[in-house]
Amino acid sequence: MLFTSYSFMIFVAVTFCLYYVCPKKWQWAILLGASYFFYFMAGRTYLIYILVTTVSTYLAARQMDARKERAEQAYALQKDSLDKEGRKALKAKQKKGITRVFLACLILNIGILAVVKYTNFMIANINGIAKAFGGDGTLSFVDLVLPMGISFYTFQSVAYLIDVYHGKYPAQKHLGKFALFVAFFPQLVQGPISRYNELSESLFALHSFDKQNIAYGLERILWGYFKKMVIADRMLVAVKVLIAEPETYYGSFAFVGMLFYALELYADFTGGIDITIGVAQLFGVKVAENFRRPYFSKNIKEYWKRWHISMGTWFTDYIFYPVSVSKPFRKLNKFAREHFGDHVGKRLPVYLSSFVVWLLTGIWHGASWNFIAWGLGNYVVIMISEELEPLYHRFHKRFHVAGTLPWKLFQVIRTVLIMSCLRMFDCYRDVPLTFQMFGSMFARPNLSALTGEAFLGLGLGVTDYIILAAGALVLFAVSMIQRAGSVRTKIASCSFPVRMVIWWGLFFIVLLFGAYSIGYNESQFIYNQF
Amino acid sequence: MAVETTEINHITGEMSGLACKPAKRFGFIKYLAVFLIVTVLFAFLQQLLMPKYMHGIVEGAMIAEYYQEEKDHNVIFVGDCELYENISPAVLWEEYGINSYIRGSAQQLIWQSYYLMEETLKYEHPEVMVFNVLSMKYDVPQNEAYNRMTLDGMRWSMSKVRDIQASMTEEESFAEYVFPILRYHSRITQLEQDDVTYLFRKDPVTFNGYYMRVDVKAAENVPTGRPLGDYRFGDNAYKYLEMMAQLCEKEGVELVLVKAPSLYPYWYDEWDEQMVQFAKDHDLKYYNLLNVTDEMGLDFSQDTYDGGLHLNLSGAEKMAHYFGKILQEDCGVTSRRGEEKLEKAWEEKIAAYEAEIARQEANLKE
Amino acid sequence: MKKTLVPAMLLVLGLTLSACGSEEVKVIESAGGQSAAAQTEETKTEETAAATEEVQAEGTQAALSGYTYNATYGEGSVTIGMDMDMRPVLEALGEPSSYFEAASCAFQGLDKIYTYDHFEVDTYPSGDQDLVSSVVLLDDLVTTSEGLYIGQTKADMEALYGTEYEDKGGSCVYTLDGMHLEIVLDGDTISSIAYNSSVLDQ
Repeated sequence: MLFTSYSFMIFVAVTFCLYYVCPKKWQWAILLGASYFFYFMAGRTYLIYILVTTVSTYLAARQMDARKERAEQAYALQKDSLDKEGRKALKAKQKKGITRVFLACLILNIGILAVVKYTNFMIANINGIAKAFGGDGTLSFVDLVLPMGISFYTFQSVAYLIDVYHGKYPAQKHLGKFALFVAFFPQLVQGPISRYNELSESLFALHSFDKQNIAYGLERILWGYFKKMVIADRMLVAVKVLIAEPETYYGSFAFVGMLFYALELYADFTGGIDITIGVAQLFGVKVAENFRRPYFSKNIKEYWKRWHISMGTWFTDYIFYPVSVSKPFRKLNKFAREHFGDHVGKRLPVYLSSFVVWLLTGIWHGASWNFIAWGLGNYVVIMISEELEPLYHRFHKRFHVAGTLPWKLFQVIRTVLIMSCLRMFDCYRDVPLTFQMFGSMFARPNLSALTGEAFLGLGLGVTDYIILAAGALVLFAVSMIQRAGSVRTKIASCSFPVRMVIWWGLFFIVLLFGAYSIGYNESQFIYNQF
Repeated sequence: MAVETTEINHITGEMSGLACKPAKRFGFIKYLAVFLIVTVLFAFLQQLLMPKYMHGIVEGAMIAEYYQEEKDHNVIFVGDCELYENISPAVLWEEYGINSYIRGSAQQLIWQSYYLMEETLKYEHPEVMVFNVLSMKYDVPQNEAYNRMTLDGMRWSMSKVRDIQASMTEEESFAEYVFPILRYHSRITQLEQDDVTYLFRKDPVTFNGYYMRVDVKAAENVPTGRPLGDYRFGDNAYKYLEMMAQLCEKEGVELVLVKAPSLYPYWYDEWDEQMVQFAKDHDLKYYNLLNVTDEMGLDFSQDTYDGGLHLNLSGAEKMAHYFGKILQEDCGVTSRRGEEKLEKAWEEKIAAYEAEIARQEANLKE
Repeated sequence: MKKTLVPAMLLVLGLTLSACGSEEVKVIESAGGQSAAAQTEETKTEETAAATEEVQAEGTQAALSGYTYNATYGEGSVTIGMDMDMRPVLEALGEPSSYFEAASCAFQGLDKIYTYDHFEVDTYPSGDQDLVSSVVLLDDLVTTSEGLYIGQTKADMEALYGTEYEDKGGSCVYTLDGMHLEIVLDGDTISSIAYNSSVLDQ
């Protein structure tokens, strides 16, 4: 069930009615039932995977809590009879038991993800290596199911497991409610990766029919559909052509494709998240924001704090920090400081752990080399800009441009361009080809090819381009207004007729100008498979 | 560089600044007004965006045209282009006093014909229903565009619902038949003069379902059919043919099967044998008119407008002349000449028919 | 540690191997050209941009795939693959011995049949091009590129093309790169050989 399908709309409507008609104490169960139904419709065998993750994580967390409790009791009983060493040994022994449960569950879940997502990638690489060494490289691929959204719910569960392990919050005692946290359908397809402590409160609360909240939810959904159907799906038609025929569309057209994809991806992904947040809001559930006008970022680091926020913070919290403070890294830190001085000593561990983070971020996005190259590309750009920091400093000391509008504009455009360049790995899905296309932008720009006729050859008509331009302008305007405060509050404060014109106007725009139904290709949210 | 905190606004939770609530009674009227305006606008846009099929591809307007008719025909023809282009009801009236109508549309599949029969029988009770058997060769849904042309024009009834369900290809959805605007919305950028001209009215495009063409293109080099692995018609096609037979029997209407005299698509002997057998088993009449083209006087260098696929006016009139006799003599369809109301209606229709012939011939001369 | 790890690993293995017949979610990577082929015939009144059709046509102009037929007629010869443009075929073989065109009901565009004595080439319209939808061998004076001809037996067919075919009652269908090689049998004897494009699948 795609977000843009009629069946999804009907499904949400039915769930919505049940949710508010049935007694409140059953609300969680209705959402859970709906979520499993949604997941079942996506693939019959998917449920097995999510159930394994749910039950194993639930049991492990409960077990860890129980062990902790027993350990505390045992410790209280025994501590008087033990000396300091003995107490330390007891604590260590207790901790070991808990860690064992933790690791088993962690390995199980990461293992499932790794096997279903990366087995064939590994086989392809082994074949490649074998071939390079003169072998025949004919290990056959395995036909594995890749359950929808597995990366999202696995990461969500793993974060919960780690938090419970660290005692950040107690384990959820109710299996059904925990299952709902893992499988909550609006975010199952493409995130965000919600944190248990952030989502659980509104997810498990009893909700009354709140007209205003529901109106906000519907408004948000409509806005998401606008982005997704009017802009993204229309742009996709041209993007597909540009990507499919690199030998025709190189040089300046590679640049055009890069910009088109930037718009398409933004509208698709943020639109999808708008729908997610809006649908959740219909049920009174607050899902955290995943984007904050990322294309207004002034550098890559900032960009990654504003784009797919839940993923960035996940990697920071559960990879970057743990890696940075891990024993080998502390040792490395010490070693580097002693041998290379403070400057390098301070940076080396950060650079190394960042490397790990970006490598994993790349792999998480997909089981192929282009994603790895993309992740490492991000890493390189961030590290270079870190290293150039002193240079910037000197520059700004000399020329007082920092903070001026042209400088800010320059920064924003620079960031958008760099990110778009990196995204070419995602576009072409082929590392050598990406480099080739990137090079062609400079080596053979072929500017004369950029004719109106050529643009019309991308599958879009003049009106489509007008709609896209207008749509992009609306996105930009809304983002600008957002800088000064919430757009929806502004709309809510308008008079009734104005509000109606805005809402229904948007509805009719989506209805008439949306790129859906036969004639357009039903496209799925790009982030589904990650 | 950190994000300015003023820029951060989590939209959920912003509940302030709402418009104050007016009196309850007024509130209800307000929402009712919005509902009405939106509904009217929606309906208007839908009407505007649906293809009008008034020029160019007129086949899409055929099914809806039936509802404008006085519904008391002796004979109803149901089928695809091999009927609506191949037989002239005007000649049937003039020569035999048979008041007939063709309920056909482009590539009308057998289940679509069945549901049209079912629907027609709710409006009237003809003496004979004639079905052209070419569509037996299609066992599964074929093409969205043809589906739309057949189904969009049908009035809503359970027959239409079942027809849609039987016809939908994988890419289609029922919702888009209920609200065609979902299908045709992209026409918003391609609207034509016709969309405005025919917003609330339709001109007739046929003569009792007959689509007239007076031009000539001789049939040459018509290929014979290539051998098939399996000649048996599909189970689904048979199911609906069976249902037709049962429906007609139940309603007391005689079902006549016919294979119109079109040379292409090729009609295999193996197919013909199956139809002969089916007719025999169900005590029906079956006429393969391909076998009697000489008796009909058909000349495929003169009587077809597209090289043997469809007949032109002269061919369709010859077929009407021949088949009218069958209807009268074999099926006992009675002549209704002399019925004043009917005479008058046909007088007008034939005048229009003649005018169209004149118009087309004039066009050809140009 | 081992106690908990072993069952965990086994479960992973079990899970991943048990489930086959994936319903993988498509992402943009599956884009290339595929989509355009899915485009349905559009009614004239709602013409999609002619440009789309151009793209569609170009998209299908890739290197020949599937089984191909080495056609010779008079002096000319050419290799014909499914969905290829008809123009080079006409240029190579010259005028056919017989030509027939069939307008599809209600739609613009013609299906065309070119007969060259011993074989026939059918096309379908796509944009302003005619693309090959099938090649039919008409008698035993011509053979497939692999050497099969009408009148041979099923065993001959299997010797040349293998046994990986779909048995459709009276005919055997080999599928390669989406196109089909359909061989009709009359008892044990081959009565017809046709190359069919996937556009005819409907």
